[in-house]
Amino acid sequence: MTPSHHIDDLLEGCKAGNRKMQELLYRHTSSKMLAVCMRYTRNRMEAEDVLQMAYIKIFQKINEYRGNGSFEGWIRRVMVNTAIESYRKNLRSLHVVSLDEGYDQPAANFDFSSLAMKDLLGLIQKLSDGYRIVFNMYIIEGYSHREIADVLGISEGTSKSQLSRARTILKEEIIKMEGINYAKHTG
Amino acid sequence: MQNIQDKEFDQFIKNQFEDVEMEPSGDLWGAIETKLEGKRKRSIPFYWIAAAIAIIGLSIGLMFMSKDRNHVVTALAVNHRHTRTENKEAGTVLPQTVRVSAVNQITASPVNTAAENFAVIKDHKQSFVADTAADDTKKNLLAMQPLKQIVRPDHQSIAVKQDKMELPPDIVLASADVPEVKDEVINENDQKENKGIRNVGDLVNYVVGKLDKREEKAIKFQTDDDDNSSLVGINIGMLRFGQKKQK
Repeated sequence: MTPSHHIDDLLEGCKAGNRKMQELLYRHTSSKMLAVCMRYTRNRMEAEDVLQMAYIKIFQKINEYRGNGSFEGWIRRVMVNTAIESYRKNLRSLHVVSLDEGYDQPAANFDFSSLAMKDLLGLIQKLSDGYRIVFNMYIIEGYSHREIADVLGISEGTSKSQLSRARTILKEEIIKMEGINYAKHTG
Repeated sequence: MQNIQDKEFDQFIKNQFEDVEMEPSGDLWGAIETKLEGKRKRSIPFYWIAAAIAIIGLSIGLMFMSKDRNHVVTALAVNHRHTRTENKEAGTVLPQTVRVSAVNQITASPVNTAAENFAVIKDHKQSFVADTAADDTKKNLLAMQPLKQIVRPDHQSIAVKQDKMELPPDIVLASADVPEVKDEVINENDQKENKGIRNVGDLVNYVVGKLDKREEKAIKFQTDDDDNSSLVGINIGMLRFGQKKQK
């Protein structure tokens, strides 16, 4: 039995409000979902807060899941939406960058083969909130600029510029990190 | 160094985070569970309240029902006394006198207070008994003829045995008195019952009505036109409230 099948089996129990089934669903999905939350927040504490809020929302609104798309995909969307809501509640305004500023950035040259996921996560978490959210939504979750613009209440152009800027910053940071790693390695 | 295009870079990032798992803190599920519990309504379900009321009503009803049995015996004794008095006036001596005194001996000690409570009933019945005394005396005379014939010096013990065997004919007299003391509350309940049991309040009324024959019931509900029932009276010893009777 694959994990996705197992999650689907828990769906009916969770819809009935069965606490044991809810716990099983949490046990099966929380590790993967915490990794999602970590990308949208600045640290583990914030990520776990979002995770907690999202699961409460999932169990309360599970009847709203009508089977459109995978159950795990729906859970992931709730995580992302909760992270965005949390960001809005904290009144952190999106750092909007003009299109001109976003484009015409020189393409960075670097070797990423030795880059560890945890290092990359650390760099993403250091991005400002607006950059981080657009970057995650577009590159990892696969939202279109139109969808991102709708969810965040910004224009498509702004979404594009945020992404471009985030990408540039990350590349620069990776180059810096590689230099440090290279220096460490050579002694 | 390698020149990397945006698409490649994006794909690389996506691959890096695919199927990544991070274990949350151990107590996080506990926190979620606590919050889920807190959001649940903590009210006692209606059917539990209804069941509790029904049980209370039932036990109070049973308590008063056992008392009512004593009342019936006492009322019977009162009627016997009247009959005996009238008979004496008519100059007839019946062995029934012995039997009545035996009944009195049986019921005297446990139901002294009950007998006092029925003083009113006794008064009501007095006139009726006087009116019907002559007819009853005839009945008694006829009924008691065989007894009179077998009267012996130890007739007292024989008469007591007769009591245990079957009720005397003058039980008709006791039941004939019933229409004289009209219990309007019972009639009122009968009218309610005609509308059927529409909710739990009606059900409790029905059960209590069957068990508690007092005018002021142990517990009483009233059903309005919308079939909603509300508590209108309680009569449990010290605790007692209710709507005033409208006449």
